[in-house]
Amino acid sequence: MIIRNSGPDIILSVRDLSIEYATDRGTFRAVRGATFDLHRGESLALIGESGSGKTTLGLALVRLLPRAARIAKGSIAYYQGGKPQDVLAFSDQHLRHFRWEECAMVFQGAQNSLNPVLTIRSQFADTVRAHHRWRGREIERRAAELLEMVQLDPERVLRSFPHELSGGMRQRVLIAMSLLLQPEVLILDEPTTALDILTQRAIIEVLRQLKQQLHFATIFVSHDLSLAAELADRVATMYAGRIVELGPVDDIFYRPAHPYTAALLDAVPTVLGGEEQLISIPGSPPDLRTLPTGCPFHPRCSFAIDRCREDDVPDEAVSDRQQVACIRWRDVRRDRRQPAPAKSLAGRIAAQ
Amino acid sequence: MAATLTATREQPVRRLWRQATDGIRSTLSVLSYNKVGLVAAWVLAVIVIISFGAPLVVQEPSPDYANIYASPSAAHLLGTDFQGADVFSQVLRGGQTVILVGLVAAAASTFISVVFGALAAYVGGWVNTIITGLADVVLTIPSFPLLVVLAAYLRLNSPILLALLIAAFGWPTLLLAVRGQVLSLKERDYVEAARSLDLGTPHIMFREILPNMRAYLAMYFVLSMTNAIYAQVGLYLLGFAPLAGDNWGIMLNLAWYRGAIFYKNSFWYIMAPIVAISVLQLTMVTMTRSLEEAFNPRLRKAG
Amino acid sequence: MSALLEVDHAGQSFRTRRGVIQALQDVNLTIEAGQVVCLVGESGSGKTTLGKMIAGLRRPTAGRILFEGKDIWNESKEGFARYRRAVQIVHQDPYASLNPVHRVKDALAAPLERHRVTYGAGTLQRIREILTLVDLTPPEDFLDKYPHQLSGGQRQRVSIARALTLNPRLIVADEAVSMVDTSIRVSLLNTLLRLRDELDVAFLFITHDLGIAKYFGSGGVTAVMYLGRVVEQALTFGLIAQPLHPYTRALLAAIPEPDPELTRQKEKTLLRSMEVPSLLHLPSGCTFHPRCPLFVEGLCDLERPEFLPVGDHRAVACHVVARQLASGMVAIAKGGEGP
Repeated sequence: MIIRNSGPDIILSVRDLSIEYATDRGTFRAVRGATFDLHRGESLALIGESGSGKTTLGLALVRLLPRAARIAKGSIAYYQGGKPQDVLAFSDQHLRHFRWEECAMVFQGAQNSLNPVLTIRSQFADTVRAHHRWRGREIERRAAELLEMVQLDPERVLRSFPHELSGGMRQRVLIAMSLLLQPEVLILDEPTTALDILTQRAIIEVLRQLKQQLHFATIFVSHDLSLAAELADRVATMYAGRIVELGPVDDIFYRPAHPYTAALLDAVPTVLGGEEQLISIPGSPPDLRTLPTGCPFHPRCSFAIDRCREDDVPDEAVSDRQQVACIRWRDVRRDRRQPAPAKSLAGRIAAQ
Repeated sequence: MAATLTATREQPVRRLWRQATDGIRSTLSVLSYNKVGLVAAWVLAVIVIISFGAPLVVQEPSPDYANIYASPSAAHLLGTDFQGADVFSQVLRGGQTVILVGLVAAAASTFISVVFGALAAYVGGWVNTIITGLADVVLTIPSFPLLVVLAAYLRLNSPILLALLIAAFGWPTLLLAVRGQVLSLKERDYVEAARSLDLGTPHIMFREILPNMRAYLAMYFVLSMTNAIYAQVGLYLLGFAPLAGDNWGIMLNLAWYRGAIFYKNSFWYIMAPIVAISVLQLTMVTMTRSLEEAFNPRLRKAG
Repeated sequence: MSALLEVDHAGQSFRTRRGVIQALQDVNLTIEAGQVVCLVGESGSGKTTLGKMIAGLRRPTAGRILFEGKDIWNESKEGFARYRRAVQIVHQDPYASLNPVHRVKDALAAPLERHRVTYGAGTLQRIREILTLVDLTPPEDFLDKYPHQLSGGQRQRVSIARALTLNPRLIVADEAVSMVDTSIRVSLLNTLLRLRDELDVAFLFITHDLGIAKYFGSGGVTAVMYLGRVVEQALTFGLIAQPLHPYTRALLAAIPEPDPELTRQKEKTLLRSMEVPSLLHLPSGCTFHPRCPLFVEGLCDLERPEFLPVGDHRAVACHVVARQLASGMVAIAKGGEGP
């Protein structure tokens, strides 16, 4: 790992993590050599498209990989009281404590994973009962507190069944439930996909507020760059199982160093940002079973040279906060946007 | 490229041939997904080959009244029956009619179900109401007892008639299943596109919807066969089916009524047809089990 | 000159066990030849229902659909068939839009041969041309492929190719790029734009993503739908530069931008309620009133606002905005004609 953001601040540390899937047509690597640190109270976004390995990486952090997956090498360390613990070596009991009390996860499409025959109140109670011995009233109080923080009416929601709530409300219920036992880390897999724009906005605001009030660290797994711009402190872009770039959100968006990150930014339209030319990325998403030699992005990369096809790409430091897996990053890096014109357009709308 | 310059309007015969061979090839690859299913398929193939090939080479065993209910020996691998005729040859020759009747019954009932089930689903309205109502009525009738009664009254002098009679009771389940499938496939995006392109109802039925039900239909066909074979054997045992010939059902009937159960040595005579029928049914049921597992979309390999 | 397609006070209601669902109410929309019209809305807005109605796949329970001035549902069989062929649909889900048992060339040959557009070798030649048009090159590589052998983006292109076989005048793209990877999306949109230019085919582009609508519809018109009604319509550029209806403004403010600075500066609209009303129990008067920040009691909850034309290609359905415009409080900025 290049960047030494060391210190007592780190809560999760992943080193050289590689995860393999066994299929009847051979094994392939879904995640290769993932290395990053998560600091207390920080939001990290894992951005990637299909086949990037982002969901696999998220699941691996709480050791909820499907049976066909195997952690081939690497380590995950969780820092409690300043001391690292090897997550991969946790016993079943320790794992149960870890999941949900230290590190909680809200899955993709989770709005549909609530038990349809139990009220929300019972489901909150179930969550707690498995982990603590709080009494009914205590559970009720904490649940109500959290539900208010996610802008839901506890009176109404606690006695409802899941089907009586909308998708957006269920998503907020799940976020509240995941925070019930006060975890230090919350992992969210595609928290806003399949939600309407206005509901998405509500969830984003809710997450922002929660972070401010409860100070937990977050990892967002998403294909949506805009979500990263909204919520993340640091962004990691992933391609074909590899973290190809990692850095603070402003650096990634305004001074990307990896051709994939830059290309992705060029391919996503803004609404208020004025006229722009969108450029697509040629080729198709990678097939993890038949990756090319060298850098997996080179077939689609406009900066590719011969060396890119031959050697494996090491991580290089762009600055003390940004790292990239590309040998031509200096050519890639440029300043992308001037804030000034955008401000005027957005300002005009705000003024109305 | 010469390969692709072949006529784009395939002659219907060529197209059916290609679809058939593609279908067989994909069925084989699908069966091999599950080892047990593959074994079952091979065993079934062997049974079919023997049942249809044996009558050509093995003579109808002649009676030998000096040797009735003999125990197995080198000359008579499974012993002899109540007339002293060789049991083993009877077993070899006995599958043909059973399988044939099963096939015809399954084909007839599948045909009825597909035609009317698809019609009911696609056309809807009162056509649907009538067909579904009829299916519901037939479904609630206890079929075997009625089958027995009808078989007693109608002189069934050919296996084909027997097959058709069995089919007359077998169609409702498949019809309702076909109807359900067509109702759901009707809403698929590609069917909507076909409507938009004004491709016509026959095209939509036969080229868009039904080809997507091949797996389903194959499974139900095989299951229909097993049901038809059970019905058939039941009728034979009770004596309501024509007793000419020497198929397994008749063997069972004769074994029972000629008192084979009372002789220690005639164990094979009564067991042989039972085992033969059971093995046949088992292979078919196992095959459908593995077909079902393999056709489950979740297990389907993404190309 | 009559428009290519006109939706005239169209409505669509469904009878279900739980009551009557009004998916569309009193919708008016015009599509000119070769024009791009974007239809923006969230789920429950009725945009897909409207799209299917325009494609002739659903019959309106109220109002009319006029194609080249003629009411299509009152036409002869041939007239209706001609209309159906002139309007094609491209679906959202690449995994459901193609028949899994047909190869690409089978899927494309079927409409060509059925409607006697081409024969034999001519069909194959035409298929090759169309595949090249949708950027599936070289065409030989795709002719014999089954859908499961193609990627999502490629499948969508085959879907588009299929829609082009009968030389349509209008293509309804129902969220056609929503389920495709971001990196492929732009390429697909550019293909569609090129087709619009080269073939002069009109597009009804249905999406929930205003960013995509802005890119695709930059030279055309965008209509915003809410709970079965069109609430605002304008030239795309003008709509985004100066949204009038409070729902449009809420949408624009709510969209997360892939630009941290921009996103930090965006003013977030506060809606009165986060609850989306059910289509079974639509609010009285203006359907947006329970959530609208401009809500005026006694007016908005009682009277349904008219869809008022307020300028070139512009119309809004809002009492408050109508008043503001009439009193001169708000004026429509010039220069909303687009690039």
